[in-house]
Amino acid sequence: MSIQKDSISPQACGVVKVYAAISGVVILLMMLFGLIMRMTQGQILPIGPEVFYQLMTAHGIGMVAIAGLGGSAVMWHFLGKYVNLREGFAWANLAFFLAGVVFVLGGIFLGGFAAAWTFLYPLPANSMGMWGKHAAAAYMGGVLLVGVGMLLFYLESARAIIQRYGSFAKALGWNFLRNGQDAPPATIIAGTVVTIINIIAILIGAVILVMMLINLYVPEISIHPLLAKNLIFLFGHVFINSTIYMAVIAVYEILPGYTGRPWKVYKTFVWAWSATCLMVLAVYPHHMLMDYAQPVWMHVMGQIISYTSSLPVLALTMTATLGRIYRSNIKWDLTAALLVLSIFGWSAGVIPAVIDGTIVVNQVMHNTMWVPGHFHLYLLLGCVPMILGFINWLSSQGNAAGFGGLDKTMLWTFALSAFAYALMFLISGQASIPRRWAVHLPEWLWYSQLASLFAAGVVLSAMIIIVRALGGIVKPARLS
Amino acid sequence: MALHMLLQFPLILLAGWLLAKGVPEQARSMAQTWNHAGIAGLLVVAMVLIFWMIPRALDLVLIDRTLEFWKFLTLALAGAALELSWQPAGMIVRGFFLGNMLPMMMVAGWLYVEAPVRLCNSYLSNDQLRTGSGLLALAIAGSMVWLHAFFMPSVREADGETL
Repeated sequence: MSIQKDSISPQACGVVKVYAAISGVVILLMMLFGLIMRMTQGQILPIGPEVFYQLMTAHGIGMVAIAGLGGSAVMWHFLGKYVNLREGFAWANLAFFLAGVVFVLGGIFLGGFAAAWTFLYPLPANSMGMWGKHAAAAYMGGVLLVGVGMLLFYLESARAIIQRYGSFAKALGWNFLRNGQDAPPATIIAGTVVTIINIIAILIGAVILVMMLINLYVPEISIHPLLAKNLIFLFGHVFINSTIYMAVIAVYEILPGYTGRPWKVYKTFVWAWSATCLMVLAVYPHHMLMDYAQPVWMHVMGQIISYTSSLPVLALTMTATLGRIYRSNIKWDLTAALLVLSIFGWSAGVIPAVIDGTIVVNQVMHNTMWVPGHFHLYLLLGCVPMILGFINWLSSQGNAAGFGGLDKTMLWTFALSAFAYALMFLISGQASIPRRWAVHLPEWLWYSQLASLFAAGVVLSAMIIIVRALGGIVKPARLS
Repeated sequence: MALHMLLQFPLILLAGWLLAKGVPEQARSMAQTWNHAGIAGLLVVAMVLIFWMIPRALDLVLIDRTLEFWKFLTLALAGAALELSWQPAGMIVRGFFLGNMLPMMMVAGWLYVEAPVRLCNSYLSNDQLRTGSGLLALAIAGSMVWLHAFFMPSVREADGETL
């Protein structure tokens, strides 16, 4: 099979469309779960704490997994422009993914597992009778299966990148740094970084999952809780970070088509991605600043790298996006608007993270709603619009579509509702409302009730955007 | 225990690997008919290594000559299978193999370190601790070497021959 440099493999498009369709539907479902949880906290819906925590677990792991699948769709689609990917691996990933999802959902909704998506040790094995060992094992086994599929996906990406570029060093642009020639495309650099960090993260995830499965059935063999937490966060934090690094490829590849200005790779861009590759692996300790037993140097590293980790790639992507739009006579449509919105969401989402990454702030804010405020800005206004923009672009077959009244209304409804929704988390955090509580005090109810209103706006607008985009994706497939 | 697992085992594997280097080309190509993309061979290696990571097996070979003979034979065969399979395997199968073996070594190392009791009758707790730490170190070192290989592929790999 020849390497396709100028066109996207139509074969790859089949699997990409399936990824995109599943991502769209599941994102919508996860949004509904979010709405239900906020309505429960606002005492609008009479849902018990057991079901709330099951929904919270499903919402968390579901969003991480689907952001991963949606990001994979973007990465696979555009990576296929430059390297020779074999479609079978994308299908194998999907098969493992779906099998894993069955186990995870079975563990949660049939077995009652509700230890949050982070499955922090020793909670899965100490349920106080809320769920059984087998439910916890189904959940962790399911996550393990999803990881196996993802490992195959990234190994195939690695193979294809090395086949085309010779080594990761060249694919990261290090030769270009030395001699100023043969700069790899932005997609290759981003794809290589994601491949490296996720292979490492998945293997570490496999280690801690197997350790916890052993502990589940042989409790005498205990795990050092701090080691377990470090391994879980190294795995989970890297993986969720990587979703936006995969999805941002949509900005690099699609936006130039609207502005007429190609996304050129400069040395600063290469430096930024290489720095991110290292820092994203070392930034997770900012989630453990409240763990007094953690070595002090890791706390210090967590704070410093929180400040520096997101800046290189984000700053360059943001300034380059604005630079490409400025006086470019960009042809706005829903795709372009969603992609530009995503850069805003990504940038804005980093700010509360950096604030929370400061040790003195973290000790007060980390267990409040402030943290969901950060990751909802980051995901709901950053990663999700990138994926939705990509799905919309696929549905319009890569052509700039019109920007009608309905599109504009849904875009603004989505953007404003999502921003207000995330803001309600941040305001709740500022008011010291704890996170992960199913039942709220009467003084806190109005925060959740108002947030529910904004959540409804997000669900409604996202539903219309997704349903219309999926209609465009499914129709050509049916005709063909 | 540490010498048994971390020195003798690798040396027997190495011996098997070196013996397989002498396999004539005809036999090698015959072997490939049942070893498509090195999958069967690497599966054998994984199974053999899984078995010999079990503490009970380590204990038994010290008192049972027959089992010790099988240990030498299976580990040597695993080394040979590794040699015959590594090149045809390509990056994905190798990656999948290492992606299973290295975490498994880490988990086995952790088990040896964290187990509340002595796992082998024939070895003391401190030896068990040393072996566990060694397995962990070996797995981490193996992971680093594997990661390094992504950055420095051989000429044949760069040509896409084994990819």
